[in-house]
Amino acid sequence: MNASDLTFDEMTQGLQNTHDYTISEDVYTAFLAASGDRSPIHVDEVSAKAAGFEGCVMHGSILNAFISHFVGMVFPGKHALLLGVNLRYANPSYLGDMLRVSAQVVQRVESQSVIEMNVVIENITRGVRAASGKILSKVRAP
Amino acid sequence: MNQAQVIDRLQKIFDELFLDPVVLTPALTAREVEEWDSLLQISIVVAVEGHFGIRFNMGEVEATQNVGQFADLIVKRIAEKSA
Repeated sequence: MNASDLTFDEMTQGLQNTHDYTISEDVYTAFLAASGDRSPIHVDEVSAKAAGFEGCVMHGSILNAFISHFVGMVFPGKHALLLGVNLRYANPSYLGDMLRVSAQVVQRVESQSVIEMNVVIENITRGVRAASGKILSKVRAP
Repeated sequence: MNQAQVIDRLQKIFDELFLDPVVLTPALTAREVEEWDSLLQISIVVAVEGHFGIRFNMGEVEATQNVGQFADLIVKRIAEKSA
């Protein structure tokens, strides 16, 4: 997909957007390789179940990776410079789950060309909230 | 609201943003606080605009030399808002 190109002026207060992501086998293995986080709860089915989970728990930071894509490619897109993400993980996600990222502009700081967005990540597969939080992004001049 | 009252409110905002405690005084400058870099500066502006319900113009926050001048700018914006 090509990156969106919304400008700061176009990122108006209240504007919102959504995008769906799937924690595929490719995403999971690539994240394992990138992070090196092979904690048993993430890679060992038996350990994960013994800890009370349905299976291997997907890394919460996979959601942060989706946020990175969402901001840089979807909303606002290529003019974005991500400054900060503050996510609270509400429920575990599992391999194959589909997640819906929804964000809304809640504050525009004209003097800095910065927007603050509220973000909610719903786990569509399981019908629960996966995470919620805030995104801070600069929107550079085109 | 005067400078001292604004600094008192700023202190609470700074307490939430900085990992190491920063004691605000009118003479304090960003250069004196290692953690106070350009990215944290943006977070401060975002938090201050949200907290006080004010908007800064391009470049005017950067033009302030210390916490006292920043607080004076906030006092001015609050006064303009309620005028």
